[in-house]
Amino acid sequence: MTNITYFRRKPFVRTFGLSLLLIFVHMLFFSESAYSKEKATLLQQTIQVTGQVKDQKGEALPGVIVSVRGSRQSVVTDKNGHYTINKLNKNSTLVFSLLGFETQEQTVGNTKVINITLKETVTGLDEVVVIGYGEVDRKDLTGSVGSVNIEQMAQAPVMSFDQALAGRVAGVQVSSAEGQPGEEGISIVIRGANSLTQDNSPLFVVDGFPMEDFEASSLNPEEIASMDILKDASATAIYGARGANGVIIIETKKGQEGRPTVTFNTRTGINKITNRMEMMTPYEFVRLLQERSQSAADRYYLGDHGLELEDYQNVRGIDWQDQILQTAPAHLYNLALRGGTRQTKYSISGSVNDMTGVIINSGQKRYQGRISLDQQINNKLKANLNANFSSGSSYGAYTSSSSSAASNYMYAVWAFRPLRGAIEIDEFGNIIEDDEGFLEDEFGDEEPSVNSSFNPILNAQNTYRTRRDNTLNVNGSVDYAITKALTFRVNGGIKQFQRRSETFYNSSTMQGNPRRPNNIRGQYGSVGFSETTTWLNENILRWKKRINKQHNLDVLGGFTLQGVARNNYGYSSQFVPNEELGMSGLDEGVPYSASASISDHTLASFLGRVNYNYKWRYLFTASFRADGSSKFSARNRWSYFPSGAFAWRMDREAFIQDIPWISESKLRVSFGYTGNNRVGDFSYLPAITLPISFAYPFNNATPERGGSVSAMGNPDLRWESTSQLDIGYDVGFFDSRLNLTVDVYRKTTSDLLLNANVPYYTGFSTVYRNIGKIQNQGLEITLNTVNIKNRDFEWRSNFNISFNRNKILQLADNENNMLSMKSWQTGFNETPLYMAKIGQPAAVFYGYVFDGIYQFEDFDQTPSGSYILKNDRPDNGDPRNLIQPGDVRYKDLDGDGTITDGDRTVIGRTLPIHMGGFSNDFRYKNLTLNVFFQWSYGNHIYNANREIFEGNRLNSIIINQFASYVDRWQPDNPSNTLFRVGGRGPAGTYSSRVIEDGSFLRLKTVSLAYRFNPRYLHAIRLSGLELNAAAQNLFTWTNYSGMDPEVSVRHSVLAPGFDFSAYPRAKTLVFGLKATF
Amino acid sequence: MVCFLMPSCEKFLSTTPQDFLSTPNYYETEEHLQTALNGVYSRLQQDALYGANLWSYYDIADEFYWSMTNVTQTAPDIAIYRHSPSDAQVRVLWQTCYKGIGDANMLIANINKPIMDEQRRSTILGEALFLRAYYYFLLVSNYGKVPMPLEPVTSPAGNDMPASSIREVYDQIIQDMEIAETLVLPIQDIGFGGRISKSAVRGILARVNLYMAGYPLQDESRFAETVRWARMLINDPVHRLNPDYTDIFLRYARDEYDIGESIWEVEFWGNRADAYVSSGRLGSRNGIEMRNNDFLDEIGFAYGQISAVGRLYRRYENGDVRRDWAIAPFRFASNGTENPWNANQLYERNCGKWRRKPELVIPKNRNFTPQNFPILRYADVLLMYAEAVNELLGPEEALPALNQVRARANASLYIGANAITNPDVFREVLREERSRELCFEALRKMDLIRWGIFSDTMFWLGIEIAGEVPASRIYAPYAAQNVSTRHLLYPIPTYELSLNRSLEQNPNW
Repeated sequence: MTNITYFRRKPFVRTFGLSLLLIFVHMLFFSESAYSKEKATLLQQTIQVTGQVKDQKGEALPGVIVSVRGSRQSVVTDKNGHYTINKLNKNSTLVFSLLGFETQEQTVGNTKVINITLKETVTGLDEVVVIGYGEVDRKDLTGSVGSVNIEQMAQAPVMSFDQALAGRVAGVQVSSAEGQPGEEGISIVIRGANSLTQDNSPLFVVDGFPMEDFEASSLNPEEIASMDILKDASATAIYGARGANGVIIIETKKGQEGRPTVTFNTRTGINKITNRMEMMTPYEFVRLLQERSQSAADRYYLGDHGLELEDYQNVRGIDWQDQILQTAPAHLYNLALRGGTRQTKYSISGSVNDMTGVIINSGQKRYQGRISLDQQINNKLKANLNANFSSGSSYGAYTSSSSSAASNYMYAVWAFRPLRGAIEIDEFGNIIEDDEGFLEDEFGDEEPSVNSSFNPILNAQNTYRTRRDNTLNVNGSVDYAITKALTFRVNGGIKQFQRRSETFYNSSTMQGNPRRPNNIRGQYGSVGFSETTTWLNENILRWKKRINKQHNLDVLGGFTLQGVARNNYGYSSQFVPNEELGMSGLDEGVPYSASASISDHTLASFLGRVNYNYKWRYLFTASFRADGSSKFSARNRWSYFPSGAFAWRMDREAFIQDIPWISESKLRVSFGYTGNNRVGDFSYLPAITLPISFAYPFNNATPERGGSVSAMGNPDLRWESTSQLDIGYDVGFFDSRLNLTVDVYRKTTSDLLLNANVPYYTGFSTVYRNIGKIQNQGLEITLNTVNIKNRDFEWRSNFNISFNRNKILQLADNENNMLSMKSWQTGFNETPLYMAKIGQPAAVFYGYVFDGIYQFEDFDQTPSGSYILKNDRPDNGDPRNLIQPGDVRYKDLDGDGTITDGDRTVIGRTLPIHMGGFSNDFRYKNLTLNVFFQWSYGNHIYNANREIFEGNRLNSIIINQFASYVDRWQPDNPSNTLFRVGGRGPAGTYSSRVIEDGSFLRLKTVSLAYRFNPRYLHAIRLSGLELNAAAQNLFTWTNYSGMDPEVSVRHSVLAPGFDFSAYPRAKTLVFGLKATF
Repeated sequence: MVCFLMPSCEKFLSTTPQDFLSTPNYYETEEHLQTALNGVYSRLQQDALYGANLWSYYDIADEFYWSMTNVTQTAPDIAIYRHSPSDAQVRVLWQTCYKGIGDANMLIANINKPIMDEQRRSTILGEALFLRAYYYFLLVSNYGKVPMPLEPVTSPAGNDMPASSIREVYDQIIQDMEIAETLVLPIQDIGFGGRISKSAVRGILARVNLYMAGYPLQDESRFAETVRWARMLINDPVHRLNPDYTDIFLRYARDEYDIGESIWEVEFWGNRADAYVSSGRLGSRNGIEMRNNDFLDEIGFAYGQISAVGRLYRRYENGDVRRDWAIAPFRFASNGTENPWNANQLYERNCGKWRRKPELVIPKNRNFTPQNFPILRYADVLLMYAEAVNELLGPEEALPALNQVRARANASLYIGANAITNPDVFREVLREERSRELCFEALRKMDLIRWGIFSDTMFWLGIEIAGEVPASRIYAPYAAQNVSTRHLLYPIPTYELSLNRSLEQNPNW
């Protein structure tokens, strides 16, 4: 093959000359056998090989490294792709490598001229796709599988792949709750959520080991070799039980045959805040307080100090955001050693990452290492071992998930007053701005009251909260080729996940401060330890046969066992006498609460799959899996998940082959069932527990244990099942310069597993049940194009867009809708904000329609000057006599003149209409640029920050407000959007007032890299050197008024799109270097 | 390989819970029943009931107002009648009662499961029946019509349960309590007021019947029942008034019992320096304000969140020992000294009935106290008796009971020329007497409601307070001013309405 290429392109004379040389060498070898062995060796050592390296189109390739395996010798091809290499022997193996091309090897043997055609690293339809229990050429795929362009994704300066996955693959929605490093709350949802309260994250299969709760952060993105996302039922049904949410199959980088290569990669840079809120100035703050309560304003800032409002015009005050937000360092280091022989391949790699958060005293660190070993034991037996250990930690107090608003960081930062409560004046009557003192002042006031907020900086500096995760994954497999066609594989593994959570509140934290009246624990702390051990055994028999060169059969069958055991222990200690000891001082305190729990579940499965194709033209797949789960009672334990798929490769038909510009054309149809068992290990059983809070102290004696039925149990609990129909079409044009994949699908999930709210009269608040039916249908389009490609310049694009429509088809008890609450702040927690209604998505915002502000003309004025709401004007839910001009007004939908529950309606959508990503790769000579955009369009966000900081719905006295509230209703400023101070209407209601468009377009990742020509590197013994710069979350275009539109704190499918005190998202800028030895 | 045979596979899949006991495996011994019963009792201690709310938020009427409002604080909505159906405090009362009912239902359903002493079994059954009925009594008096499950709810399906009428709920309460009365032990055998005794059941039956006789049922035939039950206690030699009014409350603080006077009390215990959480907020929330940590153990930390209204102070005549105990005549200076209030400083006075100084559990906790709370005192029994007898037979028969209560307080007696002869006058006097004797004991608001005078009383109270309150306490009339007729009942919690579609919201909510 190589010779053919050679002769076709090169001038005859030269070819002739080389041919002569070839003949000469051949003669030499033929005569060689007659000589003595010593002489032969001598001769062999002097073999010289020449040749030329080209790409598939026949263009000469300069800069290709030609090395000799097992020696240090190497040369680089010249600008015409030619090389000459000496001192070889017959058994020498030449290795030809160039970035962007597959490495090739050639044994010298008797040839003296070795011409090589390097294949470009495959993209698009050429690639091999890893599917469940096997792999297949993408061309022959019958299901819908999206592959992540790993090389592009690896450019993103992130610690774990889920932070960079958004927008990469059509139909895969990746969203994060907020920006807290290591605790972003990232959810990956494939083709819409099936389950309302249960986990919707896909099943992860890493190097063949399936994991339901996979810690993405335990995997170093640098070590990922491929990532394939199985979306339709035919692809996922082989994972039956847990395939309903889609499957993400990850293969890590393995060793390759060839000399050892060391890759070192370092990236260093900064994390920086992307946005901040504008707060009221001290002047505005005092003015607001004055409107709120003249006596409070006098006491703190005005009358009692002989000051007037105007005295605050030029007072700077403190914007606490300046104090708590920082530009923080980011470090990412990777080191890998990979290599191997034909029998043994190895890969050893490790990484150190350190990302400091944009809020002080928060961040994330990780140390991680991986070993992979492949060994061919004999020609029938092959073994493989993978081990990964990751030790990660994240630290920093909760920004948004704490149960009390005041201990949420951003809340505290925005709420804390910009001026000290105990204002001081110098002898000239000027206000003394004592920033240093204020920054160290616990309450900004002399005597704290119960509701007073605590200095957020002190709190952030002193709160100790860490979460350390150690994850160990070890798995291995043995493959035995019983015959050439029949192989048996035993796969086993264990995953151990340990988490230690620690918190300690010293006297400078809000919780532990002795001056705070409702601190009843002194200085206190707690430690929690949990451990999850998952083991797996899989036994797969596979038979692959080609019959009559027309029928291709690939049949597999097997059974698997899996078990998960969890336990957790913890204890808390209060009144710790020596707070400076921190956690280790807990033993000196008084223990006050302890926790312990142990639980386990098991899963047994039988599986089978047949792949059959006729002349690679008509492809059929049928699979079947039976799963038994210990999570259900004996009669509901087993469930069966069949699937089938058909694909027609039209490009193999004559009528397509005749069209020269169509390079690929494939139609796919699949249908199948998958399941879900993500409920508690024993949710089907009623439980009685004896917590200490139910003890009762009869006769003033030590309390006697009391029992309470803590769970109703549901013996009827059964598997959730999802059926999915997928029709897809893959087409490639102009020699695969343009590839288009379109999929339409409809998923219907029945017997939804729901941790359903039940009325309190039952004695319970939630119970697991199978409830109703939900449908997701959608369209996914992926377009890969090679826009420009020539020797020096190349431009490739990937565009994907997905539309998913989520619809409730049926609810339990024939209900028409189901309401859900969001728990974030006492006063609001009891009101539903979300509705799941038949015919609508799983969650829509539900509440009153904001109808502006009551103006003077809505009132009659009494002779005494007071305002009485006109009879024809509806109230806002407050008693009519309390309503005043400037109060908030809601639409009276049922026209009964008063605002009641009946006036609530759908006020916003929580799910985007479409979302996607657009990636562009540019290469100019050795310079590459990747620009990646990601977007989400059409979803709303409930901006609860505005409930508190734009009108003070909680009616707290001394809290600051957003600058936007300066424009509130005042007698001389008839605002119709911002109610007057105190005009908040009835407490604990939700309205469309703070619902905002959450659409955004984000320049997610930009990376620029320069690769040095290996020719120059050779001298310094490097085979590759790259300098790069990358940025993450660089720009965001949005109309959302909050910090960041990608937000959903305390996220759940029933209650998404909620913004309250979210940890601000950072943009990351790094510079890096990647060297290969 | 284990799994090739289905039976071994089933074995592999049959896991058993290690972290909890499942109800089918419980209620198998006497100890199990007792533990379950303790759980039913424990709801009484929670913040939503006698831990805090029942004697603070839920009892705001014409005795006190929420005084922890100042330039840095606002009153909770519930404390000024600004609560909405979604207010958490509206929900917790509902939820806590039903949790107690659910546990009681499960216990009652399994009462015959263990082989055990029959006497013990019937005692446990009696206590459980009574407590369930008492939780329903709290529900019906606070929310009106409510769903009334009497069996454990074991299936999540069919969650819609319509409310039973007020009449049905009361009938069930009477039925259960009357059965309980035959089952539980006499108070002498128990020896302390923390467990349900025959006396407790009888006294509460007197109260339930009295409520039935008033608004909203207005079933006047019930006065006779009140008389019948109260008389049983009056005729029981165990019960008598503690001759020293203040001693009643010192005993609660010191964890001492007096079964003569204190017939049923909620037990509180400890200071939370350990893992137990059986202490309540009595005395901390509604004590005499003292926030200096230096006097934590000597005086005890108290927020002083509850202060008397002027009207309550004026209800007492000079010399009535109850006035200056129930209403703090002084405040604590930050150095711990007691500074008496001026005679005209009526609205500054904190509730003084629950003082922390005598507490013996040291160290004291700022927020939680071991003080027991009385649900039923003998003085209340006498007054209930007097009230019902007056309605049936007139003042002459009723006066001795009233005078007995007044005599103990060193108040003037209605005898001789002062004797009341007009039943309407007696009614008015008795209504005030109940406040004088029982103020801050979680009874007043319900009394006003059953007498049908709650909204009127609050309306005029609002005007009265506004007219006399000092400017520093301008928020004192808020609660009274905000009351409208809808406040006779709490709204059904929004949460519950969203999930049980058979429920209807209470009028005007």
